[in-house]
Amino acid sequence: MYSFAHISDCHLGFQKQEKLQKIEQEIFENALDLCLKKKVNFILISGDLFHNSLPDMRVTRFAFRKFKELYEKNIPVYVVYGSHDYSPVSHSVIDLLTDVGYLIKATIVKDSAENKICLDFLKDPATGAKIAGLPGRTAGLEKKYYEILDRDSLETEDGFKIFLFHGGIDELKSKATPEMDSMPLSLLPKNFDYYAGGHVHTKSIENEYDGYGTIAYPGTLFAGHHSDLEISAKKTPRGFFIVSFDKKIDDVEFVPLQKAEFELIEFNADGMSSSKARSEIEKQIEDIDPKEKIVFLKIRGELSSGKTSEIDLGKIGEYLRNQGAIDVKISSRQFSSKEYNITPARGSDRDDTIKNIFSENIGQVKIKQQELVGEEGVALAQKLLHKLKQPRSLDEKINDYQKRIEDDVNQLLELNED
Amino acid sequence: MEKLDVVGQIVGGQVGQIAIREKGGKQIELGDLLVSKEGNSTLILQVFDLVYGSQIPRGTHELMSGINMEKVPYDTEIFEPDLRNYVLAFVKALAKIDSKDSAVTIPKVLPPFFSEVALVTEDDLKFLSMGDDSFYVGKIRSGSKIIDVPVWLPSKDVFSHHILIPATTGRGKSNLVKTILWHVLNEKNVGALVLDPHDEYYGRKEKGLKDHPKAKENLVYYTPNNPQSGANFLVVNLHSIRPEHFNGIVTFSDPQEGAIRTYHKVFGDDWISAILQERAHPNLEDFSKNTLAVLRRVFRLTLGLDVDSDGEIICHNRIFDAGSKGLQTTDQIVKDVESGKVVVLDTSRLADEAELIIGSIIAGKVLERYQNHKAAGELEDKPVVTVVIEEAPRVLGEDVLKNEGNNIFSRIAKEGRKFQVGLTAITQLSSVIPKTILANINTKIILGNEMQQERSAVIASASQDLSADDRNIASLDKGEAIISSIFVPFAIPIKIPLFDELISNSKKEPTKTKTKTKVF
Amino acid sequence: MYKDNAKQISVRHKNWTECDQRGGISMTYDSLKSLVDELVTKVEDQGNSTKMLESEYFESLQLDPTNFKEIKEITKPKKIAYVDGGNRELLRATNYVVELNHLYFSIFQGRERIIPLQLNPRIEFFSYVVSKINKRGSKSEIFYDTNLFPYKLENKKLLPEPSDLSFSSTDRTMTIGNQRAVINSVSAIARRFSEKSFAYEIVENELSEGDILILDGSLQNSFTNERKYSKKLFDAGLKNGVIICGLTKTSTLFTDTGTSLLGSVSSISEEVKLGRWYIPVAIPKFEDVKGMIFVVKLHPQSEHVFRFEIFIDQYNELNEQQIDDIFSSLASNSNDLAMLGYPYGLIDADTHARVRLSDKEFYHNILLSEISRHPEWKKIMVHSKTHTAHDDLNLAVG
Repeated sequence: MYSFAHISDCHLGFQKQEKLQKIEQEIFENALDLCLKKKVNFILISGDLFHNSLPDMRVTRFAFRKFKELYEKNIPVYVVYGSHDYSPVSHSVIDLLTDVGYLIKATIVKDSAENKICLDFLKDPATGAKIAGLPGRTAGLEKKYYEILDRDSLETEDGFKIFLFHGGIDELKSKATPEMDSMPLSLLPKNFDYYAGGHVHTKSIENEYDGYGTIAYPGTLFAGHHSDLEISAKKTPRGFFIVSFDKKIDDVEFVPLQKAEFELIEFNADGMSSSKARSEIEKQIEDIDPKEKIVFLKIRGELSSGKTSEIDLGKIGEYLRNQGAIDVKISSRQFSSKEYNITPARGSDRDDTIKNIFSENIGQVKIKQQELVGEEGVALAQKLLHKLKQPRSLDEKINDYQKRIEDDVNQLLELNED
Repeated sequence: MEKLDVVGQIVGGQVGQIAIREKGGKQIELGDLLVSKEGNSTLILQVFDLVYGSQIPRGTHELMSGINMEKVPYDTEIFEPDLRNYVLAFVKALAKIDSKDSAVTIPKVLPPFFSEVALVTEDDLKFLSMGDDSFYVGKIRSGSKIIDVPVWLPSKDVFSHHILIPATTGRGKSNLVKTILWHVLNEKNVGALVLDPHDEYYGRKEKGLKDHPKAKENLVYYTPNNPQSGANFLVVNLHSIRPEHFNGIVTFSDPQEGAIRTYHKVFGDDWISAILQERAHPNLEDFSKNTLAVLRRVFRLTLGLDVDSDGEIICHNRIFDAGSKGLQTTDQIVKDVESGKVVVLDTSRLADEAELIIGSIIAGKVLERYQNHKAAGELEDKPVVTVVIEEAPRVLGEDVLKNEGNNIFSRIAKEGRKFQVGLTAITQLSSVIPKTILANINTKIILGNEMQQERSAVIASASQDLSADDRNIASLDKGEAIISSIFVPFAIPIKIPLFDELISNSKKEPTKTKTKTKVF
Repeated sequence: MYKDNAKQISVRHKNWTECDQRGGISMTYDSLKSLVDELVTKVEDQGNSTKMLESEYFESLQLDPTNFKEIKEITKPKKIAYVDGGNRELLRATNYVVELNHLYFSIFQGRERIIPLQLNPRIEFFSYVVSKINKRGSKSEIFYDTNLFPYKLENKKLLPEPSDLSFSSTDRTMTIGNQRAVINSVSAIARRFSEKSFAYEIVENELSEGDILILDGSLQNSFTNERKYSKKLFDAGLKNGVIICGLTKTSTLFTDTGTSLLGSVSSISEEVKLGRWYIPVAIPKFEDVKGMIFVVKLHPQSEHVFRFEIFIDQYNELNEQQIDDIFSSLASNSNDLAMLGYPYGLIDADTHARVRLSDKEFYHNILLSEISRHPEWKKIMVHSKTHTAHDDLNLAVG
């Protein structure tokens, strides 16, 4: 019986705050230590190992150290690029690690003719497991690889096969991440025993799709997105998978990793005066022990009187830090006051949220042009944001991309070049 | 005046029933479009009836026939048969076209006696030009002849005012729908949700919408059944289903409705699983075991849901999921439709009710979103949406609406127009759809129908006077149709192209320069 | 006599009443049966005839089976022009009548229609006849004057002179019994003269030697002044070599036993067993009778035989083959099923010459409209009212 570890979305270098950086490093090192302890035959990392292609030296250093350890113990680590840790124009730290042999890229392209990508397998020497993979790219651009992927040669290969990839799958998207770029499951080649997915930061595992083996996302080890810690605070497990197999998968075990503690306060200020809301919040804060914890304070609702600014969130944050909190995250996006005449939210998706934010603040914009205030202003702001969100095309140069966006924006705002 | 290729001459009749004597050697067909030029205008006429005319009494004809058939050795014949025996074509005037500005008006006077008429030509129909944002339905048909003049319908108007496609089996309904959707795929100004109970539109094994040059960007296909590369598994999470999605599709008794409401209140989105798994909760009232058992049976029959020996919920049709699959499916479909894509759902493995429930969820969300867009003043920028549904009486039938109340589809039929959300309803039985709904459907693409009752129902609700076209409609061949719409100047006879030919004629995207795809 | 008659009438009436009371259909049948028995007996008594009734106008020929001549097929039929006319009154009073008239001709060669070269095949004209008083000494006599108004002015020259259409109301050629000739009988004469006048033009402009012209009706002159038009036509025929003929659908000729001539000839023909045949029956011997009379059957399956005349002066110059050719040509145009054995050219001519009721109604209204515009319209209309009583009665009783 063999085994391998499947880790994903470490996002090393994401954390900016010292204490959180420490936790990030510890969790990563713990994960690899556990792999060693459990004597896995190899490790799969399905993208976003680093938060960007050239992390700072501190991160690079400890990553090198840990991978060196694995290398010396003959445990191969197979990787694909994620959407964060590659660079289309220069090198990535991944390249350094693969150059020295500490990491092995699973993406081996046999032939990338005009309309076809043919991948080759690499074979793990110890287990004979065949591994193929495709990297992720920003804004879901990796979908284009799959559309021209030569699936036949992959699907007809025999033996125990693993497909390593970084990208969301439409059929497995969760309610929490509706906006995540994803692709249909049918774009993945069939007949693999294990699909080692990355990019999705919450754990999920499925094996009930005909033609497809186990599809697994271990989720992020710690955090790679500002919402990850909040999700962890809501008791979402973090960790990685250890998969035992021979000719077929025998077992998939989730190995949880918990290095941080959290406190989550969700406060609804609906119908309260600002003073009442303030005192209630303070009371709730006093009820918790924030020491050595990451504290989340989410305030929502509409004050019946007073302004939102009468609750000094900065001070609250400072208080909590003084009480020993590792970090304090305060969210007040859905916190409003009648005095600002906020339009209530319709639905709960991103579009409505954006619209509400604009609507909330547009009243403070005191200028004469009618098209920049009121509903017209809100509509214009939404369109502008939409334009700015346009992704770069697969073969589009940055300069061209920039020019295109500028032209579109100028056209929208009816601005001439001069 | 240019020389006409005369096929007949007006010899009498009245408004709506002008008699034309057919010229010898010409063969006027039912449905033929004829033109009569008068001064600065052209009158377009259509043949709706053909009768024999003769200067010879009928008995004489019968005698002649007897002589011929029974080989009676009479030395006899009918002299000048072309002069004395002829065909009378009864026509109605469809439109009067001004030669200068191509303005189209409804004719209000009879054409002059003895006016000569000719078959319509392309030049006569120049006024039928393509507007912006139009979709193609076929070419003008005159009788069985095809005139090389394409017919384009304005997308936004036609789809938002609903379309009815009434036809019996084998008349080319699927071909027509595919043709329409093919052109809708060209642009993103129309979003379509297509409930495909026969899995015939995408083209899994044969030619279909997937062969469109822009299919990759504009077409999305959901199927539970081994989707091809690029297509999606059709899996809908039970959390997507709310009690109101059963409205008008499944009837519940009062106790059952009460149980549903309560479970939804207590368990939220998990209400169906809770009923299936017989979960307890302190806030739950005591419901009769029978009530809950019936509900479980309903879910089994309509949604294919059951509970296994381990207490886990399984779905026999593999479409509904109680776990984490398909949580975003309906929202994603709504987004795709709202962005102007054509989304085809293969519902061939679903029971009727399940198909309609899924349709109901998505259509309901679309309508809600478009209501919001209208309130926010954003409707103009949004593509119009159409929901394509077959066997429309399942949701629009008089009995269904009476017994089970309104459903989302009937709501769309009645109110959707204000929000740019329309129905494309396909049916064999127009007669069971209430007149109020039929009257709201402002475009009817009428295919052949041999059932008189059905023809009458369609004729009665048509946007033009088709009272004389009963025979015309009965004689429509496969692929022939009449478009009756408030957006066309007269009821236009068309020939719908064969879908396979449409595909072969469509322009291929120019091949890009040969560069290798870089894989990082 | 009148009393007996009245009694008979009352008896008959009583019988009818008894029929009504008893629902007595059998009584009706009995009466008719008696009538039929008697009629057949009387006709049978007429016996078999051998020739047409002798008269001052004709020399009758034997109606012998051996005199029947078979009409054979002809490979190249002669060209035949058929002429016919029709008229109908538009407005009538005792002292005037207004008529609508049609004249028409067609030309066929066998079954093929020949398009006329010069003449318009159809002429339409209006006519009036009006009464006037002519004084002869102390006696006042009613005369009828006619005038013709062609639809197209250029056709006036094709029509007879109005002066030839002025007649005395006591003209014997028009009176019936001792009654004055009625005014509309004059208008019928105008049409008849017009046919001959038109026929003349046809002979002059459309036909050539060897061709045939057939009038619908007899060649006999029946009316005053008719001779002029007949002579003109006959002379044109002689000059151009066009054979002038006439074909009559019905005939009032009798045999020497009192039977109808046509009926008797038809009976005799059954012994002969020829499909198509002709038989000469009388030679004209009177100034105003110019037709050599035949009886002809033009199709084996036809139920009809017709009186056919050939202008005697031309007949006398024709040989047997030429005469056969006339009948063969005629027969080749007589196979149309609409009326087997009747020349299609005459069917065609009748169709176009006939003045239909719808035509009458149309023109009647226009005529009334024109009259009403005239300041003296009352003077016209007061007379026509004298003739509408019958129509008014029809309307009243339905």
